[in-house]
Amino acid sequence: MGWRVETRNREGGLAGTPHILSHAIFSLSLSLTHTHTHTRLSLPGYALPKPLALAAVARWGLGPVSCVALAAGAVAGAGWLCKELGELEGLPPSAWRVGKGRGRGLK
Amino acid sequence: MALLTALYALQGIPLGLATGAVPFLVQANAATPAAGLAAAGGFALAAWPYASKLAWAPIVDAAYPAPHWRRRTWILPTQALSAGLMWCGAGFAENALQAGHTTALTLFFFALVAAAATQDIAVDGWALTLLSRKRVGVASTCQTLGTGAGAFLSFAGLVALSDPLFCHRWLGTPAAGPAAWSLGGYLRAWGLIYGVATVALVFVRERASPPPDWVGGAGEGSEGEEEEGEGGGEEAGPVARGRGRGLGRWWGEAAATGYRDLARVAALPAVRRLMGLLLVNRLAVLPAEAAATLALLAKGVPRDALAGLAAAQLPAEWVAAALAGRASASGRPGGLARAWAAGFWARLACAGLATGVAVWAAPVAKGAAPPTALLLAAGAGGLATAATAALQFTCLGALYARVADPAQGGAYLTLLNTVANMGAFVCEKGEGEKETRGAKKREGENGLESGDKE
Repeated sequence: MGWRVETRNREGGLAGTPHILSHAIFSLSLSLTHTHTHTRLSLPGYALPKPLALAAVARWGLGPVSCVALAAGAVAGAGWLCKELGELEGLPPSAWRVGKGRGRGLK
Repeated sequence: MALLTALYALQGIPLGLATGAVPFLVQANAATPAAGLAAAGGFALAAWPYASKLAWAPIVDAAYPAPHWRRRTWILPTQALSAGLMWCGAGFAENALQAGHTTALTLFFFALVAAAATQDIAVDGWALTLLSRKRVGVASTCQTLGTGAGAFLSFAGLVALSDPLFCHRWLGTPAAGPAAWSLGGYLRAWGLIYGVATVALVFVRERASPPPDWVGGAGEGSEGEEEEGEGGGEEAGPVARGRGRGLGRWWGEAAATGYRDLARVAALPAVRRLMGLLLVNRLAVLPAEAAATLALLAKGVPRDALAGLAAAQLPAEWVAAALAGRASASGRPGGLARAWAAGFWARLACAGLATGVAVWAAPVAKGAAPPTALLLAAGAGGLATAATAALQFTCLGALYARVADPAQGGAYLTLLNTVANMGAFVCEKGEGEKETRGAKKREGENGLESGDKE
């Protein structure tokens, strides 16, 4: 019992090669074992946040991890995220273009 | 809009198969649960081209023979290839599935997904000139509606119609008879539809889109020198121009310039700020969205009940996408950001609800029906999460479409979509549930049971 995170290559063996190389080239599988859950997820090769979130849940439990993440999200949302998108939407079109595109097709 | 939605729906068919139904069928057909997990894990490689399409997106933007064929130069061959693969390879795929030849099946779907990914780049680019500048943000709504419908048909639709029990119960097929549809039959039918759609697309008029900067001698030094309108690409396209000086040299120039321009876009301060936001905006809800369903399953809530609730999510996603499209089409300053922020706060609340339900729900006794209140809470949370996620996704897509340069639209949108996917996890639909199901089977074989269920 307890928790364990295993990174396996797609043949199912434990990856002994550098993980970064494996992540870059192959789809990987991540196994999480917990007292009551056991899940195995296939990764496309570069996206890690969700499996890492699952690993954290497996280690500390869903309640504490999610509460901390939601609190951090609420602080970030109130202080930065929502304001940031508003500012980005208000930027002039030329801020998003390079070369001749700066004046292209814009009113 | 109808054309865009149809193109995105066609694209959703192979994606729904490769990331949803086929891994499920591969696992179900395996001799043992452990072998099923290994096979499904290996098959995940089939979706890799979709995650890596940024690698060739600049080439799709740059290579075309004439302005009025810029996007169809790529869409027609890739759709024809998909049609041929599905029509001619249907029997091969069915045999490989039945015989457990996962490698052959993976290669087959790898090719299908590569074609769909290339079509996606070209359709994204076409959307920027197909719609007027005022309504270009609605392209994202078309994408959500179309891709969602295609993926749903290929995932839930095929899984249900290939299940003899489902067909007997709902379609009245004989009790011991075969299912209504097999993978081979499904592929053949969609191969035919793809073929018809491809022929029809030949006759669709494509508006000339502005060429990449380097066409016509504009290059590094062109920055800010010239303001070119939508009709700037009336002359011959880069391929035609390249014929006179050697296709090899042209290819080198197209590739180098396309990638260099994409790097310049990625280095823009505004794009860097947006990419930073895309990388972190979902971190707060990830633990709840990734683990709440697993926790409910571990507490004994039947999978069928959760799957039934999930089936209602598609209409909720469509409604949310339509709302985002409305916010985009209204043209009000800051409208998209406000709609996205509303989705953000609602999604945080949904994640809190899901966490609460998963953590504090009492375990369900083995064989007993879950409490109605628990199902209602889980269902409402799931629906609201799907709707808010679709709202945020569509708002961001509308913003991408608004700001992207039509001359490099395919690569531009692919860059932002790829970074957005890095912020979470692509190809996730059904993956967690599928894998957990297999793992639980294995636990059952090993005599392990969930402590809470006991």
